Amino acid sequence: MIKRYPKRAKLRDGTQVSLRLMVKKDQHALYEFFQRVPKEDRLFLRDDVSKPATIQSWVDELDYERVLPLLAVVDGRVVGDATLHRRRLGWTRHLGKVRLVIDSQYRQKGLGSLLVKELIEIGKGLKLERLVVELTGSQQAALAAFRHLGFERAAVLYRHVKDRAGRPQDLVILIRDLEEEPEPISF
Amino acid sequence: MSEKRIEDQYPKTTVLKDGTKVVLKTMTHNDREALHEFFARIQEEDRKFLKHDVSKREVIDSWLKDINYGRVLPLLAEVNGKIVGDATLHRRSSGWLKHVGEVRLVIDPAYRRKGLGSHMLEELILIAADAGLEKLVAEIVAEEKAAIRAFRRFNFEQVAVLPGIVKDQGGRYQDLVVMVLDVSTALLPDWYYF
Repeated sequence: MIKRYPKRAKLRDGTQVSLRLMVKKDQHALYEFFQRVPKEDRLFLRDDVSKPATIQSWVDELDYERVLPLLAVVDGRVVGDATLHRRRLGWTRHLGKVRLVIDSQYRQKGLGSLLVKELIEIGKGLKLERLVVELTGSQQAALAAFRHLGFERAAVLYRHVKDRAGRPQDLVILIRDLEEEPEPISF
Repeated sequence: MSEKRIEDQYPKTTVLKDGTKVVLKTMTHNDREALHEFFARIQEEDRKFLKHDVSKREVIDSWLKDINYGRVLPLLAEVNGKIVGDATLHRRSSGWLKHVGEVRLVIDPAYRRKGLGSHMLEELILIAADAGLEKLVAEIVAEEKAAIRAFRRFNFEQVAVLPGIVKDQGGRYQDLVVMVLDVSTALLPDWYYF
């Protein structure tokens, strides 16, 4: 699985990105990456990435069996972070959870889709059965992008989460089957 | 927000409907063997609907490895040194679910229908209220009708069903019912408000 990386890919606009797993040395680059994520986008992230302590804890607890962090790097700069979260024990051990953050300058170029497709392949390789994504109801562009990659809405928890501004937001749970390829969306 | 130290509130003693005296206390490393024995007494048909395979020693050992009451508060019910109930409150220190706690509850079959589960759930709701949590979530396999009814009595509402999402300990896919309690509307005992 880990042998797939590093690997190179080309975005729609021709930009060359390298995809590789996060290592401890990436702490500073990751922190800078999250600093560049616009504040209004940060509102919707699960953790408070503006705190160095948050990134520090990811680095300290780096364990690919639990969280597999895949980075997209352009000229030494992190421009995308996609993570696959797994549980070793319990009734969700057949599931993988996906989280994704893309640099605002690298959106609309297919980078998000590229990273999620990688995680789908990784998930299959790990014999996971389904991938789960949680988004807020207001993340319309992300919801549409995940739908195109075969994720389907499984539930909406009304006003369940709070964004960084303290406003309640709906939590949308999307699921993608890994054992059976979903029918491609034809329109 | 001033949070009462949880350690200072326990142990405490309570009396069940049938007169049994129960001690409620927070879990410590000394409880390892008693916990194994407790989960060994839970029948397989109940055990298979738990989130974790509690028949495995490594599962219980992993709970004891990093006890952190701020993250997971495990409340045990003890009768004559024997554990008869385990109720846990799970919290996150940051992120968009910071205001949400999760509760899990397992009761010894011989101690059901005596009000022990209700009593332990009430304790967790009070702890959640004191900690400033706004919501509590319970995730229950849809087949566990009695448990769903019990949570409903505390004003937990079914907010979603995730079809076939969990794999029970027998390897069968089960629907997962997500229940949410708005802590401010929880059915708390009258004395809590006065």
